[in-house]
Amino acid sequence: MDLYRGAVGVLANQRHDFSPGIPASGLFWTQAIPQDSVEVHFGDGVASVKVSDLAEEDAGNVLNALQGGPTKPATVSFEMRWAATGQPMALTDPVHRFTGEFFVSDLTIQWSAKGEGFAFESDPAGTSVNLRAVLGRERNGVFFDE
Amino acid sequence: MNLNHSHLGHEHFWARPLSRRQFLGTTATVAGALATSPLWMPSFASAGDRVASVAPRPIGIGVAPFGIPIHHFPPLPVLGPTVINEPSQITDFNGFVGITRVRGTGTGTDTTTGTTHPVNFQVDNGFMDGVYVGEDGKVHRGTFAFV
Repeated sequence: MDLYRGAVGVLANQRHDFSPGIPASGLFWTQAIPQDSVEVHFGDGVASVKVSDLAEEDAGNVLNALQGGPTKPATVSFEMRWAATGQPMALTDPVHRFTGEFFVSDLTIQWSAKGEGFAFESDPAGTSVNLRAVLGRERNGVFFDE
Repeated sequence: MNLNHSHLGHEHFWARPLSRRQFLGTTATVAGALATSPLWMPSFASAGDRVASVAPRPIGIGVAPFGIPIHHFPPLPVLGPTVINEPSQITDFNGFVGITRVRGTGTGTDTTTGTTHPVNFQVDNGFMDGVYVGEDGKVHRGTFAFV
């Protein structure tokens, strides 16, 4: 979750980069959350995630985060909602070995972050601009061939 | 597996075959794991919420931003061969997944001075909710955020 002063995507403009870090396994920016944080109604093509005060590392910018550089402790809270924009697609990617049904989706997010000497509040969810969102039910790895 | 159920939601998915013994085996290690938990496990896990206690394993190498290979495919650009990139960060996974890239605006506050300023954001976030083979080689149920 990246914050910028000025245009997004410009490394020199980035001020905060929140993630749970990358453990030795390489698992990428992934952390366990309570089961009831996620609600999926797949037949309706909708899903939501709501979490509060997740412990994160603030690496300042994405390059430092990827290089495992110094970080500061921070927390984030967010509520995200997926809503399908069409019918589900049955897809199989034999190269990367995942398969399932997937919706292209709308998405809204409202979120906040806190760190030492800093706080952030996003504007209301309806103002967020979705560039790409996918909701799916998938199998990969050892479950790919089931 | 029937993917066309209406309201094939979270509660139903988690209610699928998971014996009491399996469930207790999964959750009994939460307290012990918390003592050395990395950030992939949230600090509020002790509140009694069901939280995965065994780390999942990553997908294979995806892209390499700044020349650094990572176990991840961003939602954009689409790399093929299908019309979406692998949305999961977890391999040996069977379940629901969501991913997004979203932008927006907000307000930053210097909490030492109270000064506020406009801030822009880009967020690549997602979730994974299902069964997975953990680092211990066993099948577990878990809910994860990609942050």
